[in-house]
Amino acid sequence: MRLSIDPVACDGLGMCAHQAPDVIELDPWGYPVISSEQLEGAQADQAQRAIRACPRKALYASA
Amino acid sequence: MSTTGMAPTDSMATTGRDHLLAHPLVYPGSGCSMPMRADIEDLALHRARRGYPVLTGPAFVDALSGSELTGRGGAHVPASWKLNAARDSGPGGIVVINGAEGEPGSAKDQALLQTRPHLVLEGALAAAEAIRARELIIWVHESAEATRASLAAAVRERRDELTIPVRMLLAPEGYVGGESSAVISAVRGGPALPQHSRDRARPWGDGPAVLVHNAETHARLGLVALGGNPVATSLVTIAESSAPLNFTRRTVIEVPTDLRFADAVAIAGAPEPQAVLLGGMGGTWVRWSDLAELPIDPWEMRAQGLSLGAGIVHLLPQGRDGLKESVAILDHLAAESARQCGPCIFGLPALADAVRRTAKARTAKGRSSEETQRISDLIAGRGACRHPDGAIRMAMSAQEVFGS
Repeated sequence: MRLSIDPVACDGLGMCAHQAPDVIELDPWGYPVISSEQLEGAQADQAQRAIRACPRKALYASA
Repeated sequence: MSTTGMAPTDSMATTGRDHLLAHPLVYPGSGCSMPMRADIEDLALHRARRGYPVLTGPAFVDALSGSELTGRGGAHVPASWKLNAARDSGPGGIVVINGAEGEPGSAKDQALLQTRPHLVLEGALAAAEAIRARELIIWVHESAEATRASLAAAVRERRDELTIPVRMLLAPEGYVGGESSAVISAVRGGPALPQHSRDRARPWGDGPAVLVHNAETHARLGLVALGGNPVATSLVTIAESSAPLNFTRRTVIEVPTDLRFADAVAIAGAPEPQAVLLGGMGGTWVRWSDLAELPIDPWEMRAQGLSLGAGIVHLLPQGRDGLKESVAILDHLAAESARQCGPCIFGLPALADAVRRTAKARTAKGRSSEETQRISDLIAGRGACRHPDGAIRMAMSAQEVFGS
């Protein structure tokens, strides 16, 4: 899977970075910088947790 | 001086098949009033010069697919891709003429809407028929009174032959209200703000299409429908200013692909600049010595790594400070953010500050260039629309051209 973001929906709350520290970094303003790589194994699990954790539903899985 | 940039009025009268304008149009100042020496094609003149559409439906789609026409709003996506994606989304869609030009240096779309409204409508109606749309919407700024009046008159003239409803929708002022995902949102009753699209090939999502083109692209679709060549020329706006973003004269010129930038600037009667911001506020700075002899040919330019963008040739006069000019433009772009995406809200002011520091302390060039680069890398591609990416392109080219 790949992780994608709707930047309009994202409010920079930062929950995702706690759930997926190996996949998501926060920029200096607290908004997620997302790896565009194909994710597998533990990284894919983290990404799924981040998707569920986002209160704005800004993250989604894409092919 | 070469004068090949002007389509001869005589041949225009007999063919008009490959041309949009008869002669350059001059807008003094920055407003939206009619250009000097306006030559307006009403329906009778349009038909006399250009005839009736000869290619409709599938024949129009085939001709477009073979034509290499790309969108003239900036991104230069092949027009046939968008039309085919719209057809594949089924009947009942909407075609939009996007007349809400947000670039203060541009005047080409208002020039077409004011003087060639029927050519623009011809293209939009051919596209509407090809995708079996249910409606044509004209998206235009409320303040653009001359443009609205001209379009309203043209639609009235065609009243008896229209097969779908045509209505005008008023765009909010500002830069991002003309961005195509904002237009799609607005015609569906949402906010006129850029939206994130999960599928770039179908920005309208599931269901019938919302096919958005600017006025020039629609006019060129009109040339296709009328049996002409849509890519024999390009429209450019030669933009002269007395201070950053204070435009004093904008000249819209239709140029054949062998005309050089030096010729176009001479036709506009403008003094030779020191550099040009090519494509608009989110465009690329180029030294005049690198640009003057280059033909204004979208394909040739692409080979040189350049793009006409929205057709704006923003002249930086001799003696003005290119870095300060860039900072003023970056401040404007930051202020014009739709304030939806974090990397744009916070990144654009940071980018403006980085270039401002370079302008203030040119001796510390190395450090400041690195800072601009670092912020650019951080925000690139992270907005819902391309607004931040344009700002980055402009800032990086400013450092390159004016940084030493």
